[in-house]
Amino acid sequence: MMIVKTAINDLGGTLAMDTRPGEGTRFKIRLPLTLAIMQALIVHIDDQSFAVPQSAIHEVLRIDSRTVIMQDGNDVISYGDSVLRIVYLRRVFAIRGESLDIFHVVVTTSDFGAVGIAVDRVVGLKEIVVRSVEDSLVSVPGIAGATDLGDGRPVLILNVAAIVETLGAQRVTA
Amino acid sequence: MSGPGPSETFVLFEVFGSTWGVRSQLVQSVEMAGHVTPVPNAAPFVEGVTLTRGQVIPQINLRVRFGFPRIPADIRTRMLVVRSKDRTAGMLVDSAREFIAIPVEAIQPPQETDRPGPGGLSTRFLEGIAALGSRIVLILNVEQVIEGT
Repeated sequence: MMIVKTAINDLGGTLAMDTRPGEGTRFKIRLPLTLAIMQALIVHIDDQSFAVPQSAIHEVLRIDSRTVIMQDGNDVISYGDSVLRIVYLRRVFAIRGESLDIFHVVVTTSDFGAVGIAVDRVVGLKEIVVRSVEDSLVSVPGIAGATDLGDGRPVLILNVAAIVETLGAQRVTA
Repeated sequence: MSGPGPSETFVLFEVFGSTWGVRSQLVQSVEMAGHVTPVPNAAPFVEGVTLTRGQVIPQINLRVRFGFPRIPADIRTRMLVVRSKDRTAGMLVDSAREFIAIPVEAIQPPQETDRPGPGGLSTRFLEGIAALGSRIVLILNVEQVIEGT
């Protein structure tokens, strides 16, 4: 199952399963429609750009860091009539520096509920050409591939499912 | 060393004051050091990814790979794009500006010893040593450089 999950993650998709004893197991495989071109939201940490596949995004929020509270070891913000867990991309990627007082949260939809990915800034929506990043030296969790925005500088594409998993909050039996 | 014996061609480059050679058939191109995008949580010797001929490849800093301090890139800095076993990677070196033929008999295997090799370097990345007159050229084991860890 781990091999299937890895293969699906590499394609930018997600795998979820749901088992009920005596009833059966449901596998949910989500794959992007096309591997070549996708809409992506360009976000920044400091001056480095990252691309977030639009298919994984529900909405973008502008957040004041003073409104972030700790709940059961998670950073959360109030969201609708509930709370939203947030994961700081800067921490996941071990990028030095502190997050800003006012930052943006990309609310992602996954099979495990909504999770917010905190970034410094949101630049805008772009159509990107997906290039694979296959070499084992640079295939790290949380990166689905790379693109370039026309300046010859590669921009990493986030694997939202893998980043959300770093929260370790959801339990997938694979 | 002047005989018409068989020889191999090498691209020569410098890292931390030593002259290294890499088999020319493994070298796809020699480029100016272009933009590199850092890749989070990659190994310390991996500078990141860079775009060359429409392909995204890892860039390895050979200084760091060899255990030497990083230096800022300057006009002599080059990236050698090398292929090994279906993998392509860029190697950042201090400079690269020579292409030479080395007679096969001039290349000696590295000494099998636990002592560090030239420049305090372990022999891990060393495939051989060529003496060309007064000049020493260290032959690079590309496969070892690209292999992780």
